[in-house]
Amino acid sequence: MTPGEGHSGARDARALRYIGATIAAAAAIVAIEALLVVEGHLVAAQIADALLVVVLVNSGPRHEAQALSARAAAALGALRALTLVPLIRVVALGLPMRDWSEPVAVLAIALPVGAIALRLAPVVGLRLKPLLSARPATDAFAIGAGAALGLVAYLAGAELLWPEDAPAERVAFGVGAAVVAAIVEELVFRGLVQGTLQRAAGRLGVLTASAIFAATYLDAGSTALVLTFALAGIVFAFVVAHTGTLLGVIFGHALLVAGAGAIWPTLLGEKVPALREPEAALALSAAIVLVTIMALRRPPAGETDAAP
Amino acid sequence: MLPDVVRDAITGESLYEASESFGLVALVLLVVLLLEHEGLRAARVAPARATMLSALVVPLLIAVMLTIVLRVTALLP
Repeated sequence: MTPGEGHSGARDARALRYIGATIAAAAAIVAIEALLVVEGHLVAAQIADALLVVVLVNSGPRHEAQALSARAAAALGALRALTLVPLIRVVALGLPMRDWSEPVAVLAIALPVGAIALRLAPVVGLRLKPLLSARPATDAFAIGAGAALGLVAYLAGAELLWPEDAPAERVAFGVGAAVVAAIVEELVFRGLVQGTLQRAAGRLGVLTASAIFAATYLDAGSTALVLTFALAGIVFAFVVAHTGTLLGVIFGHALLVAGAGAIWPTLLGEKVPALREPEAALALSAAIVLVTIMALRRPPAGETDAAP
Repeated sequence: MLPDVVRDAITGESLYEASESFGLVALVLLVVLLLEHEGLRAARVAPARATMLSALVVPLLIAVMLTIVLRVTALLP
């Protein structure tokens, strides 16, 4: 074995180690999100999230001058991007939002997290300009999917974005805050988390990012609503994986949230017969499986067949 | 971004109870990250990690400062 081959082998082993650590971190995030919805375990979940932040921040070589292969650098970027997910929870629980209205609380979390995401993008190896470019055909598909899934979420019993009999300005503020949160979620989950995971692990990375996104909605209210958001996550992930841009899914996500909590209730009435739970859950599960198979069959942009 | 379970937990507790449980975890994490940031800055070994730490502490700092301000305000007559 030549010295060059030895170095290359060590770099490959490091890439595999980082990819393994990334998958483990993603599994930990999903487990903590599940713990969060179990009654009486909020502090335990927050402590676990805080520990995960410390572990993820300290991932990677001690001296950054050490040479990393492209895949190891991508996996390291993914580990760093994942830090944002547990951090969001620690911050949300740490904010003294007892007397704040829901839109104010949402903005207090979303705005700093959005600013961090923008600052971390170059650190994890992502360029923002291509991420925010337009692709009219696929953008239209993402927007249409967002509108349709907003209707499904409304029929599945999504909550209104404002209290009953609220004045118009409060309605506008509630919708605006929900749209800002949707934009920040896309930047974090499809931009940083999926962008880095996809570079490190290809299709497996896209599915892992979708699983993390779905886990953050485990508390959505009903099985049908959780599955609706999981389906939205996979559809949006599929679009971003093949276009490399976020613009369409940002509009799609905003339309989903505004549609479910404001537009459809205004057009069709605030209370409609909800989707029947077992049938709706079964249909949504089938749709998730179908979209996942489609996503697995078509490699994302930039992935070769040799990628995992 | 803000699950109902989190919102309900915080609105269901007083400022003191919330800051002595959830707020304390945020404070400890903030102190750990700040110490680490200072260590990295002094050693000058990992500029990317230092940049990351300086970004991550911002929302924690906001949460902790707001809690302190509200607790001090509550003491005023």
